[in-house]
Amino acid sequence: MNKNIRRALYEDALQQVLDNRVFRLLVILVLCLVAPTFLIGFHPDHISLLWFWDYNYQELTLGLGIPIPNDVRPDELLIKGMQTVVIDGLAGMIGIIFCIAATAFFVPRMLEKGAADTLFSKPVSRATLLFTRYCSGLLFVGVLSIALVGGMYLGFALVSGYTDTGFLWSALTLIYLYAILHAFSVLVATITRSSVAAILLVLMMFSFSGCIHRAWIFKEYSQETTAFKVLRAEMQEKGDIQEDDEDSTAIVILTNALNGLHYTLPKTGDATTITKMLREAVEGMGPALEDTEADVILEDNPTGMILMGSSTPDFSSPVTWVPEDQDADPRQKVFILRRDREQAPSESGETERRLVSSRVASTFLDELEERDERGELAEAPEKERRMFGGGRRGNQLIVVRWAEGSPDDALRRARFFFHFADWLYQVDLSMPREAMSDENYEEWESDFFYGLRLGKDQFLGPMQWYEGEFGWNSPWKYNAYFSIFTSLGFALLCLLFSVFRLNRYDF
Amino acid sequence: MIDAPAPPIIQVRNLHKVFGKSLFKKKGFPALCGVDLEVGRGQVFGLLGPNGAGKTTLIKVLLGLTRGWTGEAEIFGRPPLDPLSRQKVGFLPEAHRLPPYLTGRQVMHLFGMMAGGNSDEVKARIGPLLEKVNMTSSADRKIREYSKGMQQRLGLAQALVHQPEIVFLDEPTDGVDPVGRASIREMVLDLKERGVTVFINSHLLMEVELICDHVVIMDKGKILVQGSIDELTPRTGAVEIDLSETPEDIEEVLNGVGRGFKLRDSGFQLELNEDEMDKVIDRLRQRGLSIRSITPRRLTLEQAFIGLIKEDQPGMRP
Repeated sequence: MNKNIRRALYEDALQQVLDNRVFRLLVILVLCLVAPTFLIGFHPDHISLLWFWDYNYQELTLGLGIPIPNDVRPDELLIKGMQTVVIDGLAGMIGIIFCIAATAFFVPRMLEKGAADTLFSKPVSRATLLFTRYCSGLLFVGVLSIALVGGMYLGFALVSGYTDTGFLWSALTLIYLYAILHAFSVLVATITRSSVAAILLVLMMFSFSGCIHRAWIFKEYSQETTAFKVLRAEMQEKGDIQEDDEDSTAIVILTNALNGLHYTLPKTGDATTITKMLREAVEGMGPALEDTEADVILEDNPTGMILMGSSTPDFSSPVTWVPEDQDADPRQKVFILRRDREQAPSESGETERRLVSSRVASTFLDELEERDERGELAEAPEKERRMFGGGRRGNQLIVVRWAEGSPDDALRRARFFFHFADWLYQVDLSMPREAMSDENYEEWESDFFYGLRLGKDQFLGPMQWYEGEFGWNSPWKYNAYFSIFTSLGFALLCLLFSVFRLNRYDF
Repeated sequence: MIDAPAPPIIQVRNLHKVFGKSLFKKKGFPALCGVDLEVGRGQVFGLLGPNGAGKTTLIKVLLGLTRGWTGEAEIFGRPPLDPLSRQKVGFLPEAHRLPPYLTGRQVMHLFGMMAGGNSDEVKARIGPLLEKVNMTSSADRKIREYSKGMQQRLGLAQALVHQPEIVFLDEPTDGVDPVGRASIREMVLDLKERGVTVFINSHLLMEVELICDHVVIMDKGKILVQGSIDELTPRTGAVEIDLSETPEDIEEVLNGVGRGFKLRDSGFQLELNEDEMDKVIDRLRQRGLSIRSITPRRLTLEQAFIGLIKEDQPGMRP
């Protein structure tokens, strides 16, 4: 195929897209979604509307009833919320369905009597012409996705100063999702020559593959998670099921059918998780520290500090951060200790109560107060309770702050206490007053605090559990590459079948 | 040295095509039953036949639009399934539909480039072609706004935009007004002058008779007859004689020479052999009548066509 033919086909595809009324409507819709990112500025302490009117987040919380947790930055929370609603919800579901409906007629119209005679009598193969129609659809969605994601990125960057390069991957994920569905639409359209059939069957396939994907995740969740293993063990203990009981034939058939369908059908449900992973890969958003045993995560290193040792430590000794700048005051330090909450029985043989953060913090505060009475501290200790970690109930964190040394050369100290599952954590922060102003210190401490996350909770639902298992280096059935290749393989197979069918048509 | 004869543009041998045959249906409908055909350069070829004769199927086989046929078919020495065989082919299908999202000019540009043409060269050809089909003023409107006649005229222009060496026209004057028909006829004759082979499939036998120099008549998937217009429209034996003035007693002047006398506005018609012709001329001269023309009567193409089809389909009513 020479370049003139390629250019002709590209121009044809472009004109087909630009002439489409639904496309124009969607462009207007995209502009409506992008506009707020230019009109509303999200800042750390306030929101600006049309660059002139400022509102603080408390007004928003009280006025609109939008709850903003204490342990997160409100500007980031709202921007990420907007991104999720627009990309995952509006564009990823409704938008894609709109696009499928708007482009489903591309192939049937090409195959209509009269149109097919004119087009297929040109010196271009049928496969090429079909592929051009497929690409027209990709162009349709590509332009809209790039306009939406690029526009939102630009709006947030210019008005809110929020740059999140990884967000740009969302455009590619939308195109990826559409590419799979559109390939199936092309297959149906080629076989039936009907756009209505194409739309209906794609929607059915989209829903069906989603259901299969979820059912498979639930099956895996029930087979792999500890909670279910414990439940099974308990049932065996009670005698409800026998250890050597084999699954019935029906269960085996059902399981194999589910596996077969899951591995064959496109995994459209993985698209959102893949976007998230791509974002993390671009921004290096992997956690700075991960306690793999207890699933506690620290998103970022403390500002200006580096971790000594592994990012997945075994906590046999304190995990320590030191200043990046070698000339910095060596007293500037952060370290984390982890202790087992179970206590050894006392000498009298009485079982000790499990450690809880509030009790340990109170004991520590008492010790500090005694030291303060003896005049050993530069500032009296104070205690604060905060909630962190999300979830319905969240987790309690106790912070004790004090200062040591002479008033001229005081060393700010803070100790965070929290417990999670079987572990009690103690995080120590030391920062010489000379190294950082009070205001900067508060921000530094807050940034560190915001990055503290409880990771894969043992009570996670199936979808959250699957998100945790799914990854680039996971076993093949939870592997992102496997998901992408099998989904694209499905799309490719659809296109090959379409070409096979088209080559057998008599016009 | 004697030049070798130019190879035919189209070669078809023992071509068969059956529609509706499948794994579950052994017997289909035979659309082509052993067609043999050769078409040389520069001919205007008329393809005639009743509905369902296989004319359009033959064209579609040659253009790679219909598949699953048996036999041999070549166009420019290539099999029809090879897209390159269509590089120098123009086609105006019956009841064609052009992309409604494009303007007339864009359609011409698209199809010109799809044939491998350079964009600038194609653009240079578009203007004169639109002028010829009288579509210049509407060239920048979308196809969806065109009337049927306008679409037909643009369809013809798009078939010629890449300067093809053979053009297939399936009912080219369908839906076109008389002025448009005349200009299409002129274009076909112009193509013939430039050595382009034109393949016309039409039910308007008068038009075919006017512009074609070679005709193929098909029925039931077979070629019944093929040849030049003269060969297909033999003399009837009757002669039309035009006079400057026709006297009332003309039948008496002829005095029983010839048979089947018919009076006409400007003379008369009579069935004659060569001897009788001399006698008629002598008698007219003796009476002092001025002879304007003597024309031997031929069958019209329509008469020849109906005669052939009636022979092939005995039950058919004229």
